Amino acid sequence: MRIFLLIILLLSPASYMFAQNGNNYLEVITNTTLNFTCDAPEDLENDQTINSAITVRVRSRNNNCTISAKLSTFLGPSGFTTTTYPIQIDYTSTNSTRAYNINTNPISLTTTNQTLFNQYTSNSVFNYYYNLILKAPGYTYPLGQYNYVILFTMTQP
Amino acid sequence: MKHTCIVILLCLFSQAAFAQAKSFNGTASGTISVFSVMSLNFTNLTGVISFNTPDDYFSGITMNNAATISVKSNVNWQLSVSAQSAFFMPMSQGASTDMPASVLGIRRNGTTTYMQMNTASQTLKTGNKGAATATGNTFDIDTRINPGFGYSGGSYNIGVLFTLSQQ
Repeated sequence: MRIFLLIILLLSPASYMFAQNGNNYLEVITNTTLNFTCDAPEDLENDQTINSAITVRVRSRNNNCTISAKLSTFLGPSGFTTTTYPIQIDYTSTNSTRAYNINTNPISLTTTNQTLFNQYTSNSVFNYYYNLILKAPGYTYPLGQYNYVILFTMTQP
Repeated sequence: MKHTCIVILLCLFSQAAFAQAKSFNGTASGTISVFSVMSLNFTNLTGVISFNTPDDYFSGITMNNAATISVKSNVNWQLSVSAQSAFFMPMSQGASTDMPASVLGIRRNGTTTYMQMNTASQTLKTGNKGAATATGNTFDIDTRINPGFGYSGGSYNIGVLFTLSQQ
């Protein structure tokens, strides 16, 4: 019995802090493939935009929340070194009636979280729509494939 | 058993007191594929060159800054030049058929030696990857045509091939 209770005790904080549940969750929907190709001068010299690329669905029933995003991965071919990254997300619209502090400017993603918006507590699920932008990489990026992962985080106090 | 439950309750309260902010995550991923991109642009190319005076034949005709070449490339590059034929093509009746491509010389502006054209490729310039505004990626060329007196009067034409490639 003691061992059983001890196991419950050890597991309970982890589940409390990290579980997604029906009342509180963040869902990221990619509406198309998020792949960019640069094989012509104009691709290197101009921004490329994938319209309506990402939908962020938020339900935050227990508390207000903050939604942020960062690059959790940005891997390039041999020779690639940078501290600035060419990926931006650009807010376009929402059906939310509970959002505030929406950052409506294109956000250049980095490896540090940046706030996208806040949402007041609500029973409803709201969608937030984003374009994805590849900033003109120019002529100095090494040839090859770059893989990136955008991590969206919903935080409740 | 009673002591155990008390300890558990104390621990739960302790966790509640120090609970961290709750966070929920989602991800989106993709790729960026960068292929070799090279572009070559010519401007201010001179058209017909006329030999009208004896001096033109004695000394040849030199045209400095005859053309401006701009290179865009995301790899280090090499620009080569060659004649598309071994001889100038006669374009008028009576013109010689044996005027060699070497009558035409091309050099990068700012250098001293002309490269006499032939059908073999010769390196005109190399450069580093970058836009047209990058140092060394935009430059002028000079041309000189010096046929001497060995060929008949007439109109002549020759194609010059510029080839941009990766170093």
